Order: sequence, then C-alpha cells, then structure tokens
Amino acid sequence: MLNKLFKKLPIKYKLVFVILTISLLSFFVSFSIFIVYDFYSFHSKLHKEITQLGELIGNNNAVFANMRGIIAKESAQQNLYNVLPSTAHIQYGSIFDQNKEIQAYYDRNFQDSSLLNSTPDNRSKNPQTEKSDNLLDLLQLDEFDGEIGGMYSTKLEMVLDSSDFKPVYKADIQENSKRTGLFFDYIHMFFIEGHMDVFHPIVDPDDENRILATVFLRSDLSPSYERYSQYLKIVSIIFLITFAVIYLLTLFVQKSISKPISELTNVTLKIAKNNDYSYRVQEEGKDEVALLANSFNEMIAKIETQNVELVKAKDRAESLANAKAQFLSNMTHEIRTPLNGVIGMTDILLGTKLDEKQQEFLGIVKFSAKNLMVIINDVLDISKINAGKMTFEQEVLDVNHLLKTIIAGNRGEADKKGLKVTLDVSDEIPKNLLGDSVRLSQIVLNLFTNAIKFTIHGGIVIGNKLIEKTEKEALVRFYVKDSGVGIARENFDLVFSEFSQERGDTTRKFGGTGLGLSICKKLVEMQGGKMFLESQLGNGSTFSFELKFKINQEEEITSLKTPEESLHNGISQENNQKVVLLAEDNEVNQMVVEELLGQWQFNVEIAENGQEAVDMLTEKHYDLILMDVHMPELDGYGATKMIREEMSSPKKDIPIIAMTAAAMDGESDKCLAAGMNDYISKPFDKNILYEKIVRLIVNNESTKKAEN
Amino acid sequence: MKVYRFFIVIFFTTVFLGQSKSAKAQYTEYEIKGAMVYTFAKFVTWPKNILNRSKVLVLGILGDDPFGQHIDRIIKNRKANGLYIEIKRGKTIKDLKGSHILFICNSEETGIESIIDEYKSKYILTIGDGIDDFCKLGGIFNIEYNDGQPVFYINLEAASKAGLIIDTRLLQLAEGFVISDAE
Repeated sequence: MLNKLFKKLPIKYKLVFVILTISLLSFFVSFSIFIVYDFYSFHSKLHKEITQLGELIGNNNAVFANMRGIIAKESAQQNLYNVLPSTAHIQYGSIFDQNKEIQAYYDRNFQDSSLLNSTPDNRSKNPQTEKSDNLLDLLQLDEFDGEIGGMYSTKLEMVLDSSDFKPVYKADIQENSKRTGLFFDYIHMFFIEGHMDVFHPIVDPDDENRILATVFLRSDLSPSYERYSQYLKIVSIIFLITFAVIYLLTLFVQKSISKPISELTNVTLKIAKNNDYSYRVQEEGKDEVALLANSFNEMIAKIETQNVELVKAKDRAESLANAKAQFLSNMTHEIRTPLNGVIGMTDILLGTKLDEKQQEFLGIVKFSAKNLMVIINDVLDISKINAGKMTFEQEVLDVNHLLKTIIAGNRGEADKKGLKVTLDVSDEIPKNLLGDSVRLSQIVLNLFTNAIKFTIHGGIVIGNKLIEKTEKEALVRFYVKDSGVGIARENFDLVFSEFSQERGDTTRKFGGTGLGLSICKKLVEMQGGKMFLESQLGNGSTFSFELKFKINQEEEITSLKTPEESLHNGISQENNQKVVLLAEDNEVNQMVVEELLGQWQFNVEIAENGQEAVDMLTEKHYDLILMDVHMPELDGYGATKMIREEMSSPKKDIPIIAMTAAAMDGESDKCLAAGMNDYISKPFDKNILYEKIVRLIVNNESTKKAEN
Repeated sequence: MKVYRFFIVIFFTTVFLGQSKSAKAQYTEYEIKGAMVYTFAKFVTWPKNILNRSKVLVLGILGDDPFGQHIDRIIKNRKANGLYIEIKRGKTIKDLKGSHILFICNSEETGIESIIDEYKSKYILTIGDGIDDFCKLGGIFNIEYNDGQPVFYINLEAASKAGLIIDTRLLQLAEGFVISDAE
C-alpha cells in the first residue's frame, strides 16, 4: 500500500521524503540519546550532590547520631537550616534516629528567623572564652528554658507542625542498601512524582555495619523538568530550521535531477507532436541525467538524418511511380489511336465485298484488335485505380435502359455461340438514379463478356433487383448469371485478384488478361458497393454486385429517344438532311468517323484543324461539330472558344462533341469548360457516339423550336 | 547541690519533656550519661602508639558505680577508636590501672584534686560525673545535668596535656569550655 503510494509519487517528493526521513530519524535518535544521557547525567550529578550533602550533614551530626538525638538536638536542627538553604532544590530534609523517628527537620518553605540567626556557634564557644561568658550563656539558656520549656523539641515540632509533609522512613532501605544503575550507583534513592528522595545513612566510624542514623533529603525535580520543556522548545526551533534547510537543499538536488528529466519529456512530447526531429535537449553538467540527455540527442540526430533519407527515398519512389503511371497512360493512349484506326478500318473493310477466306482473316484481325483494345483499356483502368486517380461521375441514369443497351450492343458474340441472352430487370427501380453510367456499363459489360466467354451451352441472364429504397437512395443489385464452366469455391478469391485466372490454361482457352474481374470488383467497391459470386464447378456462375445510388431530386426535363429507337424508328432518314463537321487531323480517324457517320446517313465534311473548322462554320450551316481536341494550328479548345465567343447566334450555339484521345482525368472537365456540349474518348463505342450525336441534334432543334 | 540538681532534672523531665516526643523521656539519667561516655570515647582520639599496645579500650569507673548494667549494655559489641570497650570498676586508682578512660563517679568528689593530678597528662580521658570544678581542677570532660538537659564542659588544655584530640563536632556540642585554675 505504502509502496504503491511511494511509486506514484513524483521523484521530487520521493527525494524530499527520503532525505527528510533520514535526517529526521538521525536527528531524533541523536536527540533522544542526548536527552537520555542528559537525564542520567543530570540525575547522577544531582544524586552525587545530594549524597555529598547527606554525607556532610551526617558527618556534622555524627555525635548527635551517636547519642540517638539525646543531646545536640538543637544543633542538628540548626545544622540542617545552616546547610540546606544554600541548595535551592532541597525541599525537605530530616534526620531519622535508629528508631526511625524524626530528630531534626527542615522545610524549605518554613524559614524561622530564630533558626537562621541564633546559631549556637555564634555563641562564645572558643576556648578563650571567660567562664563568666559561659555562665551568662547558661543563664540565658536557663531563662529561655524557663519560658518555653523544651526549646529544642519545640523547634522541631514547630517546623513539623507548619509543614504539610512528614517524611516516612522507608522500610526497605536496609535490604536494598545499594543498587547499581546504568550510569551511576544510587543509594536509597526514590523518584516519586517529580521528587528525588535520598536516604543517606550515617555510619558508625568504627563499625561499617552500624548505621547510627539516616539523613533524608528530598530534592524538587520540577526545575530540572522545566529544562526539558526548554530543550523541547530549542529542539523544535532547530528542527524547523533543519527541516527548512533540508527541504531547500532537496529542492535544489531535485531540480538538478528531475528538471532535466522533465525537459527531456517535454522535448519528446514536442517531437511527437510536431514530428520535428530538429529539437534538442539542453545538456547541463556531467551527471547521469546529462548523459541520458546526451544519448537522447544522439538518438534524435540519427533519427533525423534517417528521416531525411527516408523522405528523399520516398520522394524518389513517388516520382518514379508517377513517371511510370504517366508513361503507362501515355503509352496506352499512343497505342489506342492507331489501334482505333485498325479496328475502324477492319469494320469498314468487312462491309466491302470479300471472299470467304478474306472475311475469315479479317474477322481474326478484328478479334485480335478488339482483344488488344480490351487489354489496353484494362491496363489503363487498373493503373488509374492503383494510382487512386479513378473518379466517378454523378449523372442521371436509367439502369434498366443501360442494361438493355449493353445487351443490344454486345449480344452478337452470344448469338454466334448460340447462347440465349435474357434480360430480367425490375420495374421498381427508379429511372432517375444518379451514377456513373460509363463505369456501370463497364462493370456489367465485363461480367457479360466474361459470361459469354466461359459459357458453351445454355444462356446468360442479365438482371437487376431493388433491394432497398428510401426517398433519397436506392440499393440495386445487378447480376449476370450464366450456365458456364463455373468456378471452384476455393478459387473464388483468386478470380478477383489481378493478373490471375482460375486456371493456368484459362488464358490459352478463353483469352483475357485476368484484370477484368479485379477491375470490376474495385470499381464496385470504390463506389461503396459489394461484389458477390455464387458458383459451382460445372454448374455455371452468378456474379452480382450491389450499388447504392442517390435518387435525383430534380425533375427530368427531356426524355430522350434511345439510339435504338432512333435507329429503328427510321430517324436515320432524317439524318440525310443533317450535316456534321468533323474537325480531325488524323487521316485514319477521319476515315473511321466519316465511314461511321456515312453508315448513319449523316452528311460529313472534314476540317483539318481548328482554324479550318471555324472558317468553314462561318461559311456554311452545320448541325453538329465533332471536334478533336488535339490539332495543329488551332486545337479543339481554342476553336470552340472562338465559336462560342466570337460567332453570332445561332452559329455560336452549335452542338460540339469533343473527341479526346487522352483518357486522362480532367480532360472531360476541360472540354465542358471550353464550351463543348459533350465529349467522347477515343476509341469510342459507335453506339455511344451515335446516341450522343442524335441527342445533341434533337436537343438543339427542340430549343430552337422553343425559342421560336 | 547534687541533690538539688538531681531533683531539677527529675522535675524537668517529668513536667516539660514527659509529654513531648523527646527521646530523653525514654532513658534514665545514667543511660544517657553512659551513652555520652561512649560518645566521648568515640570522638576523642588517642595517639596511635598508645592504643596499639592494647587490644581493647579500657573504661575505668572509679567510685560507686552509678550505671549498673546500662553501661555494659551500651558498649556491648561496640567500638570506639577501632577497639571494643572493656569496663573496669574500682574504688582505688590502683584498681583501675591501664584504663584509657576514667569515669570518676560523684562519690569521689571529696578527693578529686588528687585523683585528677594522678591521671592528668597520661593519655587518659578523665570524665567527671557532675563533679564541681572538675574541669577547673584539670579534668577533661564534666557531664552535668542542666535543668533536665544533659550537658558537658570541656577543658581543652587538659585534653591537650593528656595527649588527646577532641573531635570538633564534640567541641561544637560542649556547653562550655573551662580553663584550669592557675597553679
């Protein structure tokens, strides 16, 4: 308990406690020894003094004693009053005869003048005295006796009567005639209530064993006890001074120990708080604490240099990683542009008259190119995700419609394999959810193409389900179910990890990079969703994911016709009258886009750069501009700015779709900021391009109509 | 005179001291005188060579012994000058030869001068039992009863001549000091 308390104390109080305890202990021990010694030496001295006094009285009254008080009674009485008053502490004195009766008595408080002055010695007693004097004395005595009779005994009784104390002879004196004390021998000594009583025997000078009489003396000890209270006062003062000095000294010592320690603590806290290793402890002196401070400083210095090196290394690593990411995105971009040309031209070439062999070869070219494109896109995505640069848009989207579009656009492969593709959407899902349609499409498309890839017989079901809906949010589950090869349970985790597929031979059999599912899972999770997999080897798989969408609170202004509808409703006929201006410097891209637009029955005119596009627009009416952002002379941003700022209405309101090759973040914002209506990144899905074109043209016309 | 003094002593002891707690009332006159003789023997010092010759201190009682057995009881087993006391009783000086102390009884008052002359200056302590002019004649101690109080007188000169030293404490208690008559 005490130990615990002591441990809790700060060093300061520990020091004070220990030093004070030791000094006080030694102080009290030495003081106690002093007091005890003083007590004994004082009593020893007192006893000696009293004994000497008793000896003197005994000696003076030896004759008296020998005569058993029969003669010289007056003399004995007188003797007590002559000897004792000079010793102030003697309160009472008496002489006991052999019969233990008082024969002479002295009381300090009773000082009769006759006893003090009329000593017998004052009377003429020297040998030279004349006889006549003697006779005169005798006469005086006679006269005196005649008046009061037994004068001697009367004087004794006078004193005895006036005194409130009558000494009693102690019976045990003879038995315990001598005792040996620690510091002195005491004879017949009694301490009673602040008195010291001494019975001193008057011994026969001729016979040691014969006690003629006993002198009793009582010493008042109260003055001596007063000195102890005096001692106590002095000691208290000394104690207080000592205490103060010790306390101050201790504080000084404590400061020299605990101050540097607390400073050390402070520096440690500062370092921890500010993460700044440049703090140092000030070293003073050369003791252990200073040594500690010194080592601490050395340690911090080492940490500091290490930290600097670590920061440098980290910066170097980061810049390397950045460079890698930059290189990757640049490379993929650079690869995608020509690849886009390959795919585009292959598509165009497939539309021409070819023999069977050529058709087959071209099909392989297209497949390979598309595969390559997927790989490149996947690599780009994964590097984006890993670099933390993936962002998600919040646009109004109709997920059911999105699923329809995806199936419509990609079922070709499934149809070829004879797989039945079923759409199973829920009507409960709101049509005004807010989300990133591109990423959602990417996920579903990926799962869909995967399903097609790994399914040989049977079919694929794509669907969704409303799990939960509040006023502001909706939780939707999407699923893609196939009757494919299935996945073993122990490989569930494997299929979602980067660059890995269920089995080593999967790539050989089915192609792919092994990045697809990993990207899907990451995209879902980055949007706060969850990915699920149910599968049995040989019994097909169901990939599903849940995403939470915010519900758009603003009312939707226009309901758009889907490209499908537009296509199937024969709007393409109207496209004959629409003229699209394509501003593009790359010839391959010019050909691809021109071909596509031609297929959709649009009239196309081409500008080689931004300036040419602006000039052409000034000359002629166009319904829409497809603007590449990177062009010589004047780039897409500059051209758009000129159109929007320098041209007059209605030309300045012409819909402009940017074609960005750089799949980098911020490009889309940049396009919109420059005044473009929409953007599409190359290589693009032709359906998406078609949808965007149609929507913008229709929108533009309807606004015009509204204005008119 | 002697008879008168005796009566005075009786008178005072009975009338004044009889009721007091005084020790004297318990003792007879010769008990007290015996004690005094014993005390003198104690507080008077003989030359060492004198006592060395003797194994006891001899107390001679000259004349009609007034002590009876009291004196024997008092000195029994008691020492003075380091020696036990032996009592000799006699009627003539011859009888008491070898005494250190001579107690001269009242009965010898008539021929006192010759007795004192015989003993003085011979290391003998002479004590007179209330003999008139005992000290004047050269006796050393004379014990008297003074109005019921036992007192004694000393002739220091005589003591000195006899070669004896009297303890000052004894001197202090003497009722008076007497000088020998010029011879």
